[in-house]
Amino acid sequence: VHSAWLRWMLWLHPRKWRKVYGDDVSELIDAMLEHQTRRSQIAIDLLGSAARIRFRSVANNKFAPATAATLVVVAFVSMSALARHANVGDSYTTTGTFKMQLVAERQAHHLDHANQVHWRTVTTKTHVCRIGTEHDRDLSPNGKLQTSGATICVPRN
Amino acid sequence: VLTSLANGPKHGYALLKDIEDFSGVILGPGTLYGCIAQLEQGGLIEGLSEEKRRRPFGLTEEGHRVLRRALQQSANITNTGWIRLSGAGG
Repeated sequence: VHSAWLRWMLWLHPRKWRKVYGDDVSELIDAMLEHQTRRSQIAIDLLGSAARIRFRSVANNKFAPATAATLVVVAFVSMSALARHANVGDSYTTTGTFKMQLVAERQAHHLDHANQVHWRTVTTKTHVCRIGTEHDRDLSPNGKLQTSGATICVPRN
Repeated sequence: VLTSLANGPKHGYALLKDIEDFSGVILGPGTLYGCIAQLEQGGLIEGLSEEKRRRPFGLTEEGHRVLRRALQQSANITNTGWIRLSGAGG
């Protein structure tokens, strides 16, 4: 191939494919360049064909469905874990007197060992919220205290 | 590509020009050889021995059969289209 970067674009194709068709494509590119075909036109076509062939080989891979399913499960588990640990920006509703978007200035965790009570306070510009109540006495199966219960927010002075 | 090879084997550039002449479609080198690879994998065409560094491709028996069937289907659709157009006053 006359042009080094057109030759480089051939290298984007799978090795197996290049082994069978690489010389033929090089020969064809030379012929096209001799007949005044624009290099950019050839380059765009080579990029497209490399992407198509690679996608096809991935799609035809016998492990493709298993890989896709694993990725979906990993993404779902990761998103669930992130959602569970996301505190700031969540929307909390109290007894209906107001609804607000928490933009926490600070958070604190409190644990009363004697009564097995665990709660969290989130302080925003306008409110202080206590998340978790006496209901936290219930222990989860893994022995950790659960942070269930009502969220109580009071306006800051 | 199959139609182009119907009147005998051709190498890459001859295929490209022939397809452009009878269909007006301008193929790039990657697209053409991507297509050739699939047809060869499907057993519809085969690479022949090289002549002057150029490898020609030709139709196989199966390729002939598939092309005949495709052209027949295409002709049926075309005929139906013409008949309906003329019946509608065209």
